[in-house]
Amino acid sequence: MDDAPIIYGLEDFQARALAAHSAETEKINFLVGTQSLRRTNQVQLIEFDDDTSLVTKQTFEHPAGEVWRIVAAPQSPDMIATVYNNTQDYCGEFGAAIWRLSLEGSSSGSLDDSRSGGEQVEKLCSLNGASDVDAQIPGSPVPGLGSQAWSVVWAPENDSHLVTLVDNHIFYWDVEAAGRSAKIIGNVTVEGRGTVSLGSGRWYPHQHGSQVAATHGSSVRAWDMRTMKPTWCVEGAHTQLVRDLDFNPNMQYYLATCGDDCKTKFWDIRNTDQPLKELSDHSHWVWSVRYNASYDQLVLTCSSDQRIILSNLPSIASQPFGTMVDQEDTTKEDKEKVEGTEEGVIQIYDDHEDSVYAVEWSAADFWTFASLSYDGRLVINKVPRSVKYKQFMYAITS
Amino acid sequence: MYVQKTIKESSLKQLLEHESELVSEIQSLDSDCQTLVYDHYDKFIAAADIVRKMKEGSVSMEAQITRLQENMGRITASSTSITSALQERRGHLSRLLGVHGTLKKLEFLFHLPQKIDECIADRNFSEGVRSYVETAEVLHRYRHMPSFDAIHCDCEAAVGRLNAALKEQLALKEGSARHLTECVDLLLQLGEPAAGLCDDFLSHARTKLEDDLATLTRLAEAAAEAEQDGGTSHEAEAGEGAEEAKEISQDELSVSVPRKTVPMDILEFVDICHETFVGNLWLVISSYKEMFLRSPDEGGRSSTLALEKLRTFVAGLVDQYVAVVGVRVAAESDTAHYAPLTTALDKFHRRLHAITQLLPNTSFGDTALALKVGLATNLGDVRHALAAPRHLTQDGTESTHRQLNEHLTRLVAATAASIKERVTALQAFTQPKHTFAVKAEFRHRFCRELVREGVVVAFFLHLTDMMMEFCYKKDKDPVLLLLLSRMCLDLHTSTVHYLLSHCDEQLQLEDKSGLTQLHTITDGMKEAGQRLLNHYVHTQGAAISQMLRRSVELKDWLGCGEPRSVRRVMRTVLEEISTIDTQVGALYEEGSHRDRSSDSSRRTYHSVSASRGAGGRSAWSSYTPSQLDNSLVANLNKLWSERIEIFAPVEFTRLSILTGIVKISLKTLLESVRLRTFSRFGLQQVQVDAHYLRTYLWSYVADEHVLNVLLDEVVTSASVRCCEPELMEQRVVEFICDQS
Repeated sequence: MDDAPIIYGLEDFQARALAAHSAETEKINFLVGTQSLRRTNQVQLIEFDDDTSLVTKQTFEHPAGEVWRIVAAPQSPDMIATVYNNTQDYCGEFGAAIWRLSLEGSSSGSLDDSRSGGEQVEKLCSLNGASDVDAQIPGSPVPGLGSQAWSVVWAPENDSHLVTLVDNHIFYWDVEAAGRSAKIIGNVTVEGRGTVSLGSGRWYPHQHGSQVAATHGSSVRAWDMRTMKPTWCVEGAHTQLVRDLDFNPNMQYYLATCGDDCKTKFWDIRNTDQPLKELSDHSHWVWSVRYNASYDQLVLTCSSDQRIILSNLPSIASQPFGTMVDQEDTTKEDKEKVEGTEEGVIQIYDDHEDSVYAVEWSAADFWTFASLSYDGRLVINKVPRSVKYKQFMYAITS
Repeated sequence: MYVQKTIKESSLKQLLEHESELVSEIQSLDSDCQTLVYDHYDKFIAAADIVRKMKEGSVSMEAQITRLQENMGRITASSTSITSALQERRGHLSRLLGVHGTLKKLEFLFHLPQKIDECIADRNFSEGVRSYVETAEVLHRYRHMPSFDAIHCDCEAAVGRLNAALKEQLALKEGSARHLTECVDLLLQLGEPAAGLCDDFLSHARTKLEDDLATLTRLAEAAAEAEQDGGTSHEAEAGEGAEEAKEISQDELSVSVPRKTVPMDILEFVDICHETFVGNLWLVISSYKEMFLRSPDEGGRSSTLALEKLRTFVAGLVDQYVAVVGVRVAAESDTAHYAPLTTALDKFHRRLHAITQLLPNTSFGDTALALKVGLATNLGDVRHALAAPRHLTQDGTESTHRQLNEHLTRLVAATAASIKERVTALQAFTQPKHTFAVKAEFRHRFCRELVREGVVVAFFLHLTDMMMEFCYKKDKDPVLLLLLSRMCLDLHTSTVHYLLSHCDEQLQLEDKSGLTQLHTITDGMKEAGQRLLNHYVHTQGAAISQMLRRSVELKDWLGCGEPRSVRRVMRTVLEEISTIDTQVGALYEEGSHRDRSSDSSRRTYHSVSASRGAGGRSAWSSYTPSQLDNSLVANLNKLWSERIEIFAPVEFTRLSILTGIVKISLKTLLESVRLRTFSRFGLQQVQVDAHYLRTYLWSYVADEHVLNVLLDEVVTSASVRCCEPELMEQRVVEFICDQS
């Protein structure tokens, strides 16, 4: 029997920001940021206890505004960054900042007690570099428009580097003094039709994490952060907007993208003419795609058709323990034989009743993932046991 | 009794008369008797006289005979003595004669080696071989005598030379097939091992035949090239070309191919083929048979071996040949002219058939058939290729929506007609005047596998594939997609069925087992149609979505003023949808509104929204910042509505298609709205827009409920994303909508 999904409501908050608590490797933690224009927003740290299947949470107020994106620092568990819409001043002004959470371990108690928790996120530094640049670049084509295209991405395994995407700019930040200060050490402006802005971005996890890729309209572009020069590009990756991307954590060059054409596509960035594979299991826009950090044949996608789909893609995955790319061809057959798991959809999760905008694997447990729908419902799910055991068996035998 | 009776019955007078009669009769009889006696006596006396004379003659004869006997005895004695005297001389003479003959033969033998050498020098091989063959036996018999042995050795040497010379001759390329045959025949007489000779012969023949083949290949390729060139410059040079062709093709008959050949007629080509290759092959086979397979009974294993060799040899060559002809025939892409083509193929077939008869165990009929398989598919393919661009160009030139229907009919009709035409054309192959058409097996295979499966069914499958491909191509005119999907549907429902049965009828196919079933084709068609239609919906939906998304993204929702009218983009969207509606309406049937009565109009809308009670409008108009209320609204909405599949497959009806498009568009609107933040007026603008859409879109969707749910959700989302949510009075909204 597979475990039943754990469904957790955010108490009448809309939400679209979800992150795995990446610096915390012991507990299955997720960070959720709420979206409300009229109430004080919150950042909630949600902990899932695998043994008891209990969910505990710690709530922090986020007075700066509604949270559009949230990321956790890769090294310090108490550091997060958010992209927020400033509701205090009552105008849709976007900003980004690094915050500190005062973590108390699990002492925040059970679900019921935490309601009273009035802790706040402590602002470490603001990441609003846009004002300097705006002076040089004639303002956004439409006033007040570019503000929604904020995104913040922390470098893998390094607290001190981070990029923010604003309109069609990329800012490369050097974070110092445990987040107390940050300065822009590089920026790129993407040329192109003015109204196309950058969407979400990811650091390239290989080659010492020196590249950042970001969605840009229907394309995906990448830059080398050392030189701030463009490196590669997948033009027209999707027929419509690209919503998200993710890199295969184990295989160099492999990239997953998803977008408004209801498709998830997999690319080899060395040859971007043709996707390696295309999935079109969703019936509406696909908002996010995530590789499992260890078993990269497991891929999660979430969509505004209210579904999450877990797919198994051994044909474009590495071996579980990061063997070389060129061995893949020879081992592929064996792998399929041993696993017996078929390529394609493993399971469709339809526990949500609204569009699902975010899905994340847990940083601590390979088999657990959380998804967040707009109506504030967080669902924690596990990979079906049969799949898990097969992967596990294979890991042992190989 | 007679007397008594006479006495009793007769009168006296009668009795008297009777008595006198009797008396006269008796008297005449008496006289007759006397004359007879006298005659006999005379003869007796004469005979006695003769006997007496004979007695006297015989006495003298006896003496004469005795004398004769004595004389004869004397003659015999003298002749014996003479004979014995001559006996000795005669024996001597005959011995002398024998010696002379032997000496003569010996002389011939002594001269034999020189003679053979002379023959080699004179290239008079057959003479040399004959002389050797005549003497070989004698030499062999007397080999034990030393002198003969020497001669034998000399002979052997000479024959060896002869052999070598012959082989050399054999190896010469220029030798004609007939010449070759002679050589081999002679070698065979010289007792060379047949197997080796077979190989030599065959390999030699092969080089020759391959030369021929190469020539033919060049011809064929030239034709193929010319065919390609012809596409561009054919018409301009048609006049010149024809004349040139005549001249050059005459040259070609002498097998030397000019570098630049002008395409010749396929009939000529087949003739040339026959003259060179097939003729030679025939010659080779017949001579081979004559030489190596003369007596299959005694040959036994070796002859079967030889036969086997020959068979593989011929099979290999014929394969090549067929391939060459295939190339040539493939070049004949101008499929309009079936008649010459069939005639040519007929000739070809007949000739191959001749070879087949020569070699009973190899059936080249199969190979020939295989060629025709290729040919037939070739024809089909050409047609497909032609058909596809034609559709496109037709579509490109005229895409006026009103003509769509007409256009569709034309398209389907054109397809049907072209298939029919093709079947009829291919029927030419089955006309009984061609030999191959007579063969039952051929007919069977041709009709079933080639025409029906290879052409007609393959065409449909190809069509299906082509349609499917359209789903993956970008930048296609959506109208074309729509048209094609309708065409698929038509094909699915009737045309395919009709065409297949037409084809079966024409080809007299009765046994349907093993043939592609009708429903597989129609199913494929239907699926293709479905996919095309889905793709159409997606494309159109995407186009409208794009418009809506941009409009939401680009508007400054926070700073906008109070709504005075419906935004222009909504009107554009509506126009777009109504255009689509006309397009679709031209091709597809109406379809039915679901659940709700089809006369649900603007008026019923109010009751619908009213019946939604607290979940609907009333909640908004009395909207308070209470989040509880808000989420209640959202949750209630969800309770009532089942999950709406946005990119769900659509049915082949106008309403279903439009519903699909509308759903996609509205969902986009919803998602876009959720990404923005609104001021009060922004929200009100959304409200107005939503109302406007609701008012005009209801007639396009099958299920009004879906429309309502989606639009409600748009407004709800906007109100959630609004800093000071305050909805407009419904009255005002309606007023604004009515005005614009």
